[in-house]
Amino acid sequence: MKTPQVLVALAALAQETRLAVYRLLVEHAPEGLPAGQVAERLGIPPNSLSFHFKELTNAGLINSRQDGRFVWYSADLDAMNEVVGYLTENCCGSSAVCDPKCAPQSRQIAAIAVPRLKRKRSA
Amino acid sequence: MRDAPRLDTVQREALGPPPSSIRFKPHRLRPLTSFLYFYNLRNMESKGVITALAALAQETRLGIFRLLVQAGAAGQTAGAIAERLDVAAPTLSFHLKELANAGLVSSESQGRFVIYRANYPTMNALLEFLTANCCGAQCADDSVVCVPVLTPASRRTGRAPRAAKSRRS
Repeated sequence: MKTPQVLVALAALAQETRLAVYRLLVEHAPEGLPAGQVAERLGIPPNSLSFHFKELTNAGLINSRQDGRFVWYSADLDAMNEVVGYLTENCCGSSAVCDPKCAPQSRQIAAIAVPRLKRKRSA
Repeated sequence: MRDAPRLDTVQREALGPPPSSIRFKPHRLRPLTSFLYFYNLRNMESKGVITALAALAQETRLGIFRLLVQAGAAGQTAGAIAERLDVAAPTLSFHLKELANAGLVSSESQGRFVIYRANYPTMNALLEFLTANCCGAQCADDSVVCVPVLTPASRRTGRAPRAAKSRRS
């Protein structure tokens, strides 16, 4: 991921509603949620939600797909990992002093994860 | 009850205070419960994250932060950062202050120099917040991998990360 893309992504996330929307979608990650459910769960009016969806989509953080009458939104995990990766690139350089601190607190979960992102593609 | 019309301020003033029977009794009936504290804390957390993200959503600051993340515990002096990123000293000072306000960078003066370091706990907390409960329960399923891998440098260069190596063996 290039610097401008990361900047757009960070700027998109630096807003309370969008951060909440994004976190909700990350929680329901591979398949996502229909727009209506996001609005209902977070108590956001649909028109302002649609604006925030657009911002997040422009930043490349979420994807949308049409399913009948519903539009489903899902977090783009590749993008998430790339943003996180960009921030922590070459973390601590070569020094071993801060290596353990660099490891995320979610290491316990990470232990069961394969290093490369393999996402089940929904049909 | 649900359909009761909402009174605006003028009407409320005209009506005067409600009778004592229905007046809200402050602390005896509704003390500050743990719920209120809980939401206070949650709001604070969310606000802190937004401050940090806003601080990082600027090219120079992002560059400074990444440089300091790479520098590790040794940190960098302001002069070294200015030289590496080709930023004027006053500009750099402004951006460092912004990053420090967001809790992303800490500073320590050593003699004539000020050493700046990335604040790793904040960084980790920020990333944790963004990726919390990632994929819900499906992380238990090995086929879905959505936990961010925080060692991308080594991923790119193909060098196995130190922490991950010890974890796997």
